[in-house]
Amino acid sequence: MTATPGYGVTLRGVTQRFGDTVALDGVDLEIRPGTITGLLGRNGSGKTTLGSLVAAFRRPTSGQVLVDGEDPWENERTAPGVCLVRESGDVLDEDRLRDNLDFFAGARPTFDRAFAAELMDLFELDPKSKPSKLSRGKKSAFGITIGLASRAPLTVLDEVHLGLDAPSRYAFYDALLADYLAHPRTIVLSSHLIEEIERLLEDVVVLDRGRVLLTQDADSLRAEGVSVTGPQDAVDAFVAGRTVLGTQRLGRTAQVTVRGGLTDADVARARATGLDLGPVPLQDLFVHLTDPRRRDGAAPAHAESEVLP
Amino acid sequence: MSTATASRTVATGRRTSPLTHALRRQLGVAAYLAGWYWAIALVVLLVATLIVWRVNGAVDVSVVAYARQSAIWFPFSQAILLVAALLRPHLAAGMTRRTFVRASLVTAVSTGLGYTLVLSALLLVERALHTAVGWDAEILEQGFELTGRDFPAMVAELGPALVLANLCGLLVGVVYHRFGGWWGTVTLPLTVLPIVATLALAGEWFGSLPALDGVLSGPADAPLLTGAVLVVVTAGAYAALTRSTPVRTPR
Repeated sequence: MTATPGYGVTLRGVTQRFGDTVALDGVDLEIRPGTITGLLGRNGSGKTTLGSLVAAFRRPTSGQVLVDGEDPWENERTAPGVCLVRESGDVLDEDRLRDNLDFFAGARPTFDRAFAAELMDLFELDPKSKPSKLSRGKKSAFGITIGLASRAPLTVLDEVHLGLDAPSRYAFYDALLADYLAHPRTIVLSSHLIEEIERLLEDVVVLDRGRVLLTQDADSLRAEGVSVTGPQDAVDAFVAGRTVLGTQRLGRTAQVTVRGGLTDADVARARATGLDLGPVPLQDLFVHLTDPRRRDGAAPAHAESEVLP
Repeated sequence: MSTATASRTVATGRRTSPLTHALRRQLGVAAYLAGWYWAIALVVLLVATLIVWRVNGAVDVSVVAYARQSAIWFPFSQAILLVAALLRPHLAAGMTRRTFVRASLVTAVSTGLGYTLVLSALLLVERALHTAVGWDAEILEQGFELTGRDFPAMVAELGPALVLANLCGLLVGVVYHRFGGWWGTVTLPLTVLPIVATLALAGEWFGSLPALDGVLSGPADAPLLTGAVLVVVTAGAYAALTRSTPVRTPR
């Protein structure tokens, strides 16, 4: 058993094929124990496959998956401590919600029935209803209830927000954060709503077409993106030689998003030339990084755009 | 985000063993369905007996014997559903395929034996009642011969087919789960073969094989011996397929 809260995850050269489709391609990855890690990627990037491998829902075609230092496949020790909640839901469809809770609570040593009841109330779930009769949003809410109340040392929440309305999503984020602080563990959160979840994330993994595009702690990643705004000539001169992620022009004013940290000298130079420096939301970085044109070596879709006055 | 002062989360809570938990769930479903099945079956058998009596003035056939086919194929379909409905939630709840295989095999064999005991008991009760009122209890179903006259002999004759029906159901279920609808259907002749073979060989064909002269001590040994071999083969095939099956995403 690990001495840190939660299970860590290691993938070494993991490839997963489905016929001719390569869902994961030689993935090397470390997920630190006791963190909330955002698993980001476009549709079909391999997020769900990665979650399935970690939860031993399937075995990789090649490579090694380790959970808390051990192969999770048919592992009696790690299995009760790994909880994957998929968008599709893996519950007893024709049983009442309360019977589902009994079933999952009986199998999970860390399951908290009182917390499950709180979450059921929070999401206004009727214990007498059946999953097969629930709306998309309510199904998601029930998946979240099981995922959080399980308090598994490794919890993977894969697109569990689907169908949830905004108040329910924010209630979920608040509940997740509060419970994580009270009961630290490893949580992997996969979502397309990066703007909404970025405040929760400590680490970020970006998958793109089955490969790890980057893995980094969220704070340093945010610090790597800088928007430079000012006169076009001054902006062009400042960003020369830097990694430009995107450009927008309005008349003679330009705003350029660059990747890479700035030194104090860079900041002073920008200010001296009348340039404004600002942060870049994680979502913008994600969009730029996973732009298919950038990936294929062509000009990124958003790299050059002009907004007319 | 600081977690320095927060408590440590470890999987050290107490719980029943995964096998006990899975068994409780699976046996509970099987017992619930068996209760409904036999309640309905009893009513149907009673009504059928009354109708034959009113029409013919006597009931010289075993009406209960007609329940054998449904006692085979209802649990068979139930076992298919057991895999379809429970395997994904079982794994999602943090239990292993090994546990699922053990629990489902115990459930399948228990269900088959349970149905065998009830069917045998009903056949004996029917015989006793018919004898008391001066009726016969002939079995008219082609290929179904029941030579045993006492309870153990009947159980030995009926048991293999009823147990295998449950095991074949599991096998069919996991093939559908693992390989999808097309392959699940194409391989049905293979996955249902054990139960069909047992039903066929339980008749006079098996007992007439010269090679088994002297090997079998009585008529009940043929289906029992065949059944035992097929039970092991079917359970082995089911376990091998389930232990390595991925979890498919439902559509």
